[in-house]
Amino acid sequence: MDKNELKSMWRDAHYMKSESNFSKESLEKTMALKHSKVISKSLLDIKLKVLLYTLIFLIYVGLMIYAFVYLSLNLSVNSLVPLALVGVFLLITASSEFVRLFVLTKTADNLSLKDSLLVFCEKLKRIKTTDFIIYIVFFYLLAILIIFNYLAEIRGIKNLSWGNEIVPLPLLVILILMLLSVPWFIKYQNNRRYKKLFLNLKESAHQLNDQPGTIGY
Amino acid sequence: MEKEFIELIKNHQGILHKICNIYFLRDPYKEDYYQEILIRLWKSYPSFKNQSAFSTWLYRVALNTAIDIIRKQYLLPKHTELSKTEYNIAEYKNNIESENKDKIYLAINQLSDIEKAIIILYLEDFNYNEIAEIIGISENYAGVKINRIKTQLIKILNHGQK
Repeated sequence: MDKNELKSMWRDAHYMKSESNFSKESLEKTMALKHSKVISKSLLDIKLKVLLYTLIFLIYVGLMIYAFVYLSLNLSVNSLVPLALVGVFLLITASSEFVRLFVLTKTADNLSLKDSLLVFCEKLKRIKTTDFIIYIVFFYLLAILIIFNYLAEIRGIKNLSWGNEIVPLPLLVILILMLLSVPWFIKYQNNRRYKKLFLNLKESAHQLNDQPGTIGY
Repeated sequence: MEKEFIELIKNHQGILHKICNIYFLRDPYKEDYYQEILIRLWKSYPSFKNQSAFSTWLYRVALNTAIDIIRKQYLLPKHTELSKTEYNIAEYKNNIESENKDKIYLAINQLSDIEKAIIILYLEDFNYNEIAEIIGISENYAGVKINRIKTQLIKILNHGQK
């Protein structure tokens, strides 16, 4: 077989081939939908997750405000750390689902395939960068806050010692290091989680890169 | 506008089937993705300003949607709840594989998403300029790509793989 036979083979493949065609009624029905059945279902699952995680996070924040502001609860660093970590976990879970929903619902169908790829990559890059900055700010601030509270509790930097009774210094160092590495860990996790998507985008970018350097993914 | 759109789609349904066969050949949710493409075409229809032929616009939106669905599948949780009988996979597979003429679809199925888009436009008799416009690449590069893809396809058809 040679290259010129491809078109005739394609034509033969569709000659007298009858696919099930949609009637006017079923077309009207489909057009009234927001998404097809399976995509609607997947989006609904994510929307429910976003709602659930946001609700849990808000209840948690509400309880914390109630405890610390209304009841004026005064806790030690030991007790504050786990509470803060739970809050952080809830925030991360809710925001990552929200980001996923945002990416899934945005489209650029009217553009050329290359432009649409560029828009998608840009959006994804922006989300990844914003996410990373938020995590950096949040976790680094949390680390500073913990150090600040710790120093306040031991009454100044001069009382810093390895065998502190409140929280042993090595433990605090490990905790701070863990907090500082969380944004990088999340970045690594996301890269692993969406590895296939990134590979697909890389492959498409490679295919469409007629002017090297115009698509960088 | 709705009537006009329905009429145009009824006349071009074959294009949508071809795109679905190319991108979702063995996918149990093929019919569902066909619907999704249709929905997205309807949503984009107000932006169709008769500057190009309807089929050119339709190919651009439908190809974008098909590729978008594939990309976003990586972000979606697996949808296992829908029963397989609903889409009758087994019967579909048998139909496809028993027909020799569907060999070309099986061959195209081995290409990448972008290569599939380029080759379907070529096979549907779009000229290099139109292909370049829909894909978003230069006309020369479109020619180069088409040649490479054709060679690949022939290799697959003759030897069964790339």
